[in-house]
Amino acid sequence: MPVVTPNIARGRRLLLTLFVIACLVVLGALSVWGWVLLDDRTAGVLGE
Amino acid sequence: MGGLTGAAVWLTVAVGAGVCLFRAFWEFLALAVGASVKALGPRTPGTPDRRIPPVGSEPAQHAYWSRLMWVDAYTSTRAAASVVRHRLLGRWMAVTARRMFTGRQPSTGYGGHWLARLGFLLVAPGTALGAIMGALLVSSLMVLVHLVLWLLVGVAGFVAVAGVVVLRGADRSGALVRRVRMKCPYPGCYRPFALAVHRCPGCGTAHRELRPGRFGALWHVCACGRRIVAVSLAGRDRLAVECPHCDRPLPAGIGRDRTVHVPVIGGTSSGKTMLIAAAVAGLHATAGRGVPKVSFATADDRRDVVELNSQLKTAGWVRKTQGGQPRALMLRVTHRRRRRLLYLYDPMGESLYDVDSTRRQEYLAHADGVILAVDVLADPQVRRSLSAAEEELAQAAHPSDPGPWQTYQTFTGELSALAGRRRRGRLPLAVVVTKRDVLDRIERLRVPTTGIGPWLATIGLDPLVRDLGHRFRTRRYWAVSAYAATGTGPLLSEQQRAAEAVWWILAGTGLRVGGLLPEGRRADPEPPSVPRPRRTPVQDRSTH
Repeated sequence: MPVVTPNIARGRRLLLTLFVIACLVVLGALSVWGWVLLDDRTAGVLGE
Repeated sequence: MGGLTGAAVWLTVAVGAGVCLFRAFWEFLALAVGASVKALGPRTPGTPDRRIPPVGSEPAQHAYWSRLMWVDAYTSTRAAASVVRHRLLGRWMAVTARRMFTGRQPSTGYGGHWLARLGFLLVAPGTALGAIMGALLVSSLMVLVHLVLWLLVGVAGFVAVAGVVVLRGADRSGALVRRVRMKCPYPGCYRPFALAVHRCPGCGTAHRELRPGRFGALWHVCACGRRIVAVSLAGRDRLAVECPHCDRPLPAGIGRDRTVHVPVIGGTSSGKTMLIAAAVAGLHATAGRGVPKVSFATADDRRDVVELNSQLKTAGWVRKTQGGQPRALMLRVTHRRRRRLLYLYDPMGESLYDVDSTRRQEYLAHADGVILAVDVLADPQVRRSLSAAEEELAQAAHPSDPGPWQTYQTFTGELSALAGRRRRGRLPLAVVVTKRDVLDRIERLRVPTTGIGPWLATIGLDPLVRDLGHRFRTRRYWAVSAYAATGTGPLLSEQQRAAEAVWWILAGTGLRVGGLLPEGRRADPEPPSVPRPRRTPVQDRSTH
């Protein structure tokens, strides 16, 4: 069976980094979205 | 009744939200992220992995980005989706919810007090709803994460492909600018090729695709694990190379230096081999004075020339060239920052006797210049004009057979077929009158210092001179005694004169060696650049 080479190991570490970046991007986007939503709601409640 | 239904709905929603927020969502999220990360492994070198493509006919591992990166990304996405689905349907629905709907404990499956059974029954719909909500939320989240991941993977793949295109384009542009066109120097092949076969310096395996591509942009990893540079500009040409058609070894650097093909044409015993020996000695002698530098391209070339010289030293002459098509004698010429790989072809005279054998000299198709060895003593009209004593001298010089005019006619007819009429017309032709030492001993054939062309016309070779003027726009004449230039006690001046024809052809390829030609002839134009060999097959022009 073929084995993992240093090249593949390096590539997979890069892909893992990309996955972490993707998670952080989604987390960040959701946080910003949630913050904006909360801000709008808060402004609406305070406005009343 | 309506109130009871509303209460049941509220209870279900409340239980569902609780199960989702405090248990199912986090469980599914942990599972999905864990499965995604696990699919991006193993990451320890030496670990077996079925997903890695095996090494195929090219003994190099595929670049990670070319195949495995996409497989890994797909596996990761699929693993995340699969683990959420399995946990929802397998654990939550098939076990937990089912047990609760039947009034049993979700963890053990045992029944209990009727009150507990009623409680399980009441919260069962909410539990199922919470699990489904958790799975849907995590799935949505993972869809977003994997969309971003695929976007990043696409960017990485695009960068890698762009790198390959740029590096390959740079290599190709470099070759075009330097007019590098690789051709096999071996008889029976002589074929052009775009990429040579490179040998791994570690295990010696042949790599037929060592260029930026699916096996790597900058370097390839050989099956033995050694990293090999795949870009010409980064030093790929330092590796041992072979012809991709006949698998015979080629000189290192063939992909970096422009190749200049120079066949030496003449009848049998017209002095071609001795002329080459004299020219090679002259090239080295000229190089010894400073620039340019001349060296043998391979050990075989050095050995061949050493053998030829030792034969000339012991016997004073060389045996008739035997065998079929010639192997080119390869010399590396370096002048300032420009380099040329010089292929000198020495075909046996018999190979130019008739149309068929001349047509087999396929190297003529990509000649950058031709040296025509003219043995004046072989011309019947010249011979008829000799006295008995002069005839004896001529006979002792082993005049060639057939005469120069006949050899020239066969050669030029087929040169047009092989190289094309336009290319033939622009080929520089160096006409070298051989056996000058014998000619100088015959009063009426004494060679003048200048004006060798008109002199040839006056002694009876005017059809040859006229036709040369008609067919070859760029031509020059020399008269050389290869006998005096080789063997024991060679004359340096004769060696240099023999080399002048080669320097003159090399000057036409952009090598600035015009200064090595005699002062009196420097006013002559350097040969123009020759159009590249045509790629279309040679048409059969023979008549039946």
